[in-house]
Amino acid sequence: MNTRIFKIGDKILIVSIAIIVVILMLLKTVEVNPDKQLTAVIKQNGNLIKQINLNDLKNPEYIHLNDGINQVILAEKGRIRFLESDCPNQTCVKTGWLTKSGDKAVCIPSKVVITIAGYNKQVDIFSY
Amino acid sequence: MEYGEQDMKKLFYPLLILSLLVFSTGCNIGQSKPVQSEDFALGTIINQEVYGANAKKASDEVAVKIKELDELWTINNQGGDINKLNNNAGQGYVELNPETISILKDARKIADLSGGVAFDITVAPLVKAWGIGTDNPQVPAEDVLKKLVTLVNYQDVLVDEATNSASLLKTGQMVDLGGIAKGYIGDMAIEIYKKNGITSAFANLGGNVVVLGNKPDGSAWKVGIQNPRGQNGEIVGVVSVADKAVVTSGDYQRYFIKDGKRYCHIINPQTGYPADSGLMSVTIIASSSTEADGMSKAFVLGLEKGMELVKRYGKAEAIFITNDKKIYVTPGLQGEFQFEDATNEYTYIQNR
Repeated sequence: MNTRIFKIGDKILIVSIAIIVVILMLLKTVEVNPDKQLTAVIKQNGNLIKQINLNDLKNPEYIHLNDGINQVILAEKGRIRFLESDCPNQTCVKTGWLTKSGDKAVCIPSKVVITIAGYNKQVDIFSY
Repeated sequence: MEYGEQDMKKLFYPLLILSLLVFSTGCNIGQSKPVQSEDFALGTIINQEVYGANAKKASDEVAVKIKELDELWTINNQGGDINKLNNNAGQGYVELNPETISILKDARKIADLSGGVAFDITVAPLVKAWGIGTDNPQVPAEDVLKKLVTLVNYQDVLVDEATNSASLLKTGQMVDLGGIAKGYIGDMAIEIYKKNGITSAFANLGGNVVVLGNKPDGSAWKVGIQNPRGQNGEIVGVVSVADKAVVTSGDYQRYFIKDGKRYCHIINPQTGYPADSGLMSVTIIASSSTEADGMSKAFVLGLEKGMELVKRYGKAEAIFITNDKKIYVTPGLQGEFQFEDATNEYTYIQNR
């Protein structure tokens, strides 16, 4: 009986498929672990204003918004916040620093939302 | 029987391709990504997370419906139903949208539960006088408040279902749906999800939470309860729920401080003054989001009377947080409530 079931071409094919599988699995792991990448997303009325990788920041970055309401957002290594705002209640500024996945600061008058991408592990939804 | 070389190969490749597919989609089978949306309406931010085949359609439908009702009910729209009703106070019936008639009926039902001492939509003249949450909040003169309190009476909202019309009995009376609209719309969102065959979703209407079913993995939704004196998103505990509304009323959302005193946006319909009952927040967990919203105004009654009201209603669990940072939870909720206070400032009172 011939024990060589696979020819050389088959072997190449099998190895390449195995490599693809490993790559896909690695990609999957990265996708499930966004925590290591702290990415802040700034949106106004649903439109993306800016996306910042907070881990890579070396110097503080000030983002000035003045669409009706003047606001300053400050991003530093590992954290981001509304620094100043002309809105009446200052809820956005009082929210303080956002530091972990799922953290969010909202300014309702200016419709600006800062979110740190990813999920909060402890809680799915906030009642306030 | 022996398999030939060709047979092995025939079997081998499909198996490889199948395993490739399984690996690449990973553990996500049966747990597709949700449709997440964020809208500004009802004077707040509205987040939805909807799972399933019709998720996009369902969440869009909810967003459209919310904007429609917002237009109808906001006092910022002169042509809206609530302004029509208020402008016609003391002058008979006006025809309104059936949805407005429906919420007015619900408001009546909830006010009846407390006899109007906690929740009353005719509190609007007082809300306007205080202006809390606006650019110029103020402490109105005592005689002004005394006069305005006489206008507050939910029984003066007359509804005629046959003609879809309603009226306010006395001139000067006004309705404000702020204490019930988000709750009502929460129930409506759940109906829209169900109609679209959705079995797992949540909507968060500015802190008023409704959840449909469990999470896609079968576990309960974890709803964080805001620390009334902490940063936004800082919690004092977590409740695990399925098919429920979780609604919180507190003194920290909108308030102003004058001469060292804190005035919150929830007005006591009996006294005409902002609630000052020794509570910082009340969270209600119930099947009906409309009723949970209304019941959360037990906030104005204080711990003892507020708890009594919840008990009398009988269809809700509750979390009361007092000014001295004690957390009281109804017995039926204690298994589902996880006390998690990172600040170490709160005390969880279990036996009550």
